[in-house]
Amino acid sequence: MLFGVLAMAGPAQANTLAAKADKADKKAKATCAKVQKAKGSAKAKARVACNKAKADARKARSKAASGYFDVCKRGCKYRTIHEGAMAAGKWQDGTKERATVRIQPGTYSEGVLLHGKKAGHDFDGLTIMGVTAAKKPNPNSRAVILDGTDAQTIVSGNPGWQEGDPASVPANNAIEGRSVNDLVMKNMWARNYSNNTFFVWASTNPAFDERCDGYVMDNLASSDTRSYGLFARNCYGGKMLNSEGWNHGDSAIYIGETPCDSDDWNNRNPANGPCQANPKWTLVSGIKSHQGSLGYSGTNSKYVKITNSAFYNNGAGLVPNTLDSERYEPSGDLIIENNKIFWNNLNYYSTGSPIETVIGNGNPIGAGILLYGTDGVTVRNNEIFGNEKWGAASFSGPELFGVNTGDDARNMNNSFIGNKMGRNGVDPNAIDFFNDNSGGGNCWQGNTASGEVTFAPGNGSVSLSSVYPNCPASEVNWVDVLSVDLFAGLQANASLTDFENKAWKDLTTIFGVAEVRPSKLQECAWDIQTPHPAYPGFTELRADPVSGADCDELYGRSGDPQLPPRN
Amino acid sequence: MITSIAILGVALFMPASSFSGSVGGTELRSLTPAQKKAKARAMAKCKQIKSKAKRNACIKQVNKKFAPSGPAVGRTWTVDVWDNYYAPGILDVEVNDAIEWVWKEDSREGHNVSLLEGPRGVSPYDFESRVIYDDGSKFKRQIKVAGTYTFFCSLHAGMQMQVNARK
Repeated sequence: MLFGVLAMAGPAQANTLAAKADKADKKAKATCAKVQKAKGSAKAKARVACNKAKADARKARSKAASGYFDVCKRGCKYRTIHEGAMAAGKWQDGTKERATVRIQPGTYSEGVLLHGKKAGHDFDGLTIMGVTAAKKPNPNSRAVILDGTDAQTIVSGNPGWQEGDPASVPANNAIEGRSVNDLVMKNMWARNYSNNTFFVWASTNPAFDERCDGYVMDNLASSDTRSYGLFARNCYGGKMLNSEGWNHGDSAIYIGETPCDSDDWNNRNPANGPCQANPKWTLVSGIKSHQGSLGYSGTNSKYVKITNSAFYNNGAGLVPNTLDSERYEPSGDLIIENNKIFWNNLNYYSTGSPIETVIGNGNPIGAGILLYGTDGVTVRNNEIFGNEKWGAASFSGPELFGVNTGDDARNMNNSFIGNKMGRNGVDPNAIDFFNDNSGGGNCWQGNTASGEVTFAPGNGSVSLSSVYPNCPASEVNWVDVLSVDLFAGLQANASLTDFENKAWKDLTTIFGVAEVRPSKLQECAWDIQTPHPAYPGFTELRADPVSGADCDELYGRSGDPQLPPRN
Repeated sequence: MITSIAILGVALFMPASSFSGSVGGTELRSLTPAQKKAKARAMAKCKQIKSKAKRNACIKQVNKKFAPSGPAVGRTWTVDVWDNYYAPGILDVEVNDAIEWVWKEDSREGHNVSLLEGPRGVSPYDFESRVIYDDGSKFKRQIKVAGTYTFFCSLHAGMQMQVNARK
């Protein structure tokens, strides 16, 4: 259910001094233009006004220049980003103006922590950006490199730090903004950090009254971390734009724990209303996310629009999900629109995977989109192809199966509309759509392929039109639906009488996919095409194929006549 | 952040009710800013003494004068930080004991120690660790006020533990 009007976060506050200087320049030009036209005594007056306006403009320009903090290896006042950012934070605190840290090309081995509650510092609205040697914004995001190899982050002086604590620690993040609003990060490449690259968040401890809002991450590159790349948590609206991420143990893009107006909000009671009465949306656009366990992940993420981006060569492309581990369950109110989602067949459980996954066993792979227990996700007008298990899937995480306390992860009110499946027949998905038939209010409409759009059929006891109804579907409430469905044979194969021990054998069900061990054997039920037809500008990436012998063993373990076919 | 999609295969590991403790004696009390300044001034005077022997004696005297004199730490209790839980989950200590949280495994999301609720007069920042991701990392704090403390990971709100401190 989409609540409220789609209102994206506004542009981050620019360097207001620079804006004032621009305004003063314009005023001076306009004032001086009057000198030519004026006659007699008016001309003299106009000349005086012109000179004054010029002087004001010079002053404003000079003042604006003080809001820039230049960082470079030689010849700048600051040699590290930390130094430049701390100086900018102090300056902002004193002037109440917005500063820009300008980083010139080079490799900087450090982590930077901006703590919004640090005494004598104000980081709200700060811009940290890569620039050219001429101090102009650098369109090349690879010219300014933040490298985490053996890097340290200075933590002394931050709230909570005490004498005796280490002054610096190994850099887990390239830039971490905690409780900072309107932080802008642009034109940089961060790599080789032990956990994340660009990380913004706010503590959920009510004692600190922290807030993260309106961040902008633009023209960034992120690679080679244990966990995430562009990472936002417990933040209101923001923007992740025109960036690329690869080689992350989890996902290149993560937006999660989207805060609600009330700390104890949930969607179980319709009287609760929406999570945010006036939602602040986050825009994800112009992203290339590849070579990760997931392309996009967001636990309990809400109010995010993901558009005009490419998610490919991941284990799974986009995976909004609902879990107990974070606050504000469930995930929902997302728009996934006009993206290219393809070749998400990286079996990171297998040998030869270029990434070391941090995701445990049981996560589905080979899928373009996995909606895991979401409420109100619109998947619209995407191109989805070459995914060897499912193009797009939706399913619950039932409490009954020990997955979600409170049963918050119900598959409801999701819609799949106008998606182009299988690249016009050139590169089909194994199956275009999967729905576990739990929850309700989900619908499919206007999706196209060169032939028939394909739907996972289940055991046939529930008609396809019931499992995949047309849009619009009537919106359902949490109390109206169940997270479990054992009739359609899509969530689990109930005909396997030895439920606990045999369910893994039916890889046509979400239960079977999640339970098969080792998890790499999910691939045994894929419709593998190697190589996929060429797609200009992209190169397919895979791990080592699972051997036929392993799959034969999986299917022949007991010679059980109950075993279903592989696909 | 998929951690428990494995249907039927995952049960959240609950905090153990027992605890492990170790005897320690680390002095945590540090000088006040004013004391630090006074010490620095005294040291500066010492360093102006030309005779090495007299200089060292002066330094020794200053160090002795400004030695921390606060209450010594009793025991140091160890709390293990695992992925999504602390062990032990409940700990009974005495005032002036110290607690050392020790991260026991690498974590992709990281965990911290944050004071959710505590006795009057205790600032949450007295017990606020940074987000820590790495196995073997430590965070140590002394309990100075009696009462009940609830700690949690501010990235994983359900990850909590309680400390009961008595005089």
